Amino acid sequence: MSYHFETVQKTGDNIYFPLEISRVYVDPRNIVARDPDNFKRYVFLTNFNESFESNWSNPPGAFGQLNPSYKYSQTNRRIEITFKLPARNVLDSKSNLDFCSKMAKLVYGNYSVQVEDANQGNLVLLPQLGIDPTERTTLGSVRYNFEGALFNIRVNFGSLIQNEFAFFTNFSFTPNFDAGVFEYSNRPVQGQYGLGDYQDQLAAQGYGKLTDDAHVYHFDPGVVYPKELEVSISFTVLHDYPLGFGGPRRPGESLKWAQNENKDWPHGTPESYPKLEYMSKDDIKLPNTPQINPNPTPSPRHTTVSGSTVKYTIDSSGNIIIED
Amino acid sequence: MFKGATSAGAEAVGRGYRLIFVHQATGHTVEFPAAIQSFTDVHAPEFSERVFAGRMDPIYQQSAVSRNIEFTFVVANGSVEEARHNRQSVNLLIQMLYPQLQEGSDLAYGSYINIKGLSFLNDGNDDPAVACLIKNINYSLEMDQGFITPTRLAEPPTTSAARATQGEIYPILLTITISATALIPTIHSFEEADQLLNSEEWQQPYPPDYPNYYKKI
Repeated sequence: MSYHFETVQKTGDNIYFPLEISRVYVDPRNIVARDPDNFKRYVFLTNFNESFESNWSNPPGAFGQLNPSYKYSQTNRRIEITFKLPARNVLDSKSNLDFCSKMAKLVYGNYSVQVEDANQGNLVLLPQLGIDPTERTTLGSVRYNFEGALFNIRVNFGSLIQNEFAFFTNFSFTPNFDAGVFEYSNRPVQGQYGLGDYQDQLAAQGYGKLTDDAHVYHFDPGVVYPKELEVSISFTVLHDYPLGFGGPRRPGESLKWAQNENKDWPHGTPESYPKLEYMSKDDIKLPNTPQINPNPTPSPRHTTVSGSTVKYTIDSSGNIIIED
Repeated sequence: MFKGATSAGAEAVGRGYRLIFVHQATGHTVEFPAAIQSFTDVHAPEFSERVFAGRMDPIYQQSAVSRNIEFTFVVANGSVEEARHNRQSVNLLIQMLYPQLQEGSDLAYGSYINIKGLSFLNDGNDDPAVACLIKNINYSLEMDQGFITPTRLAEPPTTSAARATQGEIYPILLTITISATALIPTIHSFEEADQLLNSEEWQQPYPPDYPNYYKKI
């Protein structure tokens, strides 16, 4: 976890839980391509609102019919969280801003990059071909292909959100300027440093001579670091396990919760706390699912650059390997 | 419902203020103290309206009536034990919005939920429960009321028991808002219909006492 002011860090570690977000990268074959990006931070919750919306279709009924015939469609779980990120020093504020920058990216969806080959008119995966961008080539403009929303984000927030996949629908960021900002200072200290530079250097060394709440100036001219941020996020939870009663994981047990994990849902209780009978786990054998080979043999592909054919393969990590 | 000595549940049972939800498909039942904050009952006719040039009043064509209810209640946690119990109860209430799954197929069947305990919701039947189609449950933490936690550690937990409850925090008060469509009771038996026919009541397919805001069932 990034830097926290000491008291917040200690309280969080002992009692509270962080808001934790991880982004899993998968290649086109749905294989996890690299380690997920994880970022987490203790937040000061101001609002937590969760909505469970059950959708039913309602075809037109007979004239004067008292109760229409409803047909169940789905239930959507949407969550809105609002929180504050206060900062006691410059480093705390920078960490808050960094956390917000990472979260803001989550609403932008997924892109891949291709470049048009001016001679051939076809599209080439430029970055994977390893061409020096400063080199003069016949390649034309860069194209960004929008590949849709990000569905590979997991959110964990203590027992309220138990490491669920989420589709982010909103991110809102508001610095509270009334709370104040940390400012740039070039005032000389000990005849040589600017005050901001001096404090930044001591902070980088782990606050030796400087108490951590004294780090209130920095050496980035033109920049202010807010002492408080207000952040609001909204997302829809996408469950990767069955929800309902009965179902494939509960053969012959139509009254039990479908997840079959001996875990309370949607909000958790401690593992040691007894679960209700309908939530308890049954030992059942799930039907065999086809195994995915984690190291498939890469199949050769080819593309054309400036009239010559380039052969390449994609390895299990998603890297493009050019063949001679 | 948690019925510890000083709990809201014990008080609710003593006075008969109980709010009960029954999932029709599975029979699962969950109960809360009826700490109702708001209640709205809307009987809305569904109609189309047509206007014609030179004609003063529109022409209405009514097709049906729907009864939409919305109510808010709070769940208070006076102790960690009560909070854990209430968490499981609220979980079950939320789970009632999910379907019964068919084994070996993708079919899923939603269920009506019987709501009992709101005296304004009686529908004139002898059964005090009203079948509803719950469309939305809104779960909201009341931050200003604070939180309750079993952990009181100044230092990181060292024992396994302490580690098991680390990060276990419950709101002291949470608000639940339910939006639902109540099913309108219908008279199916000839006997009831015959009684109605020979009475001076208006003729209708629902019980003469429907809707009923005052009669105790």
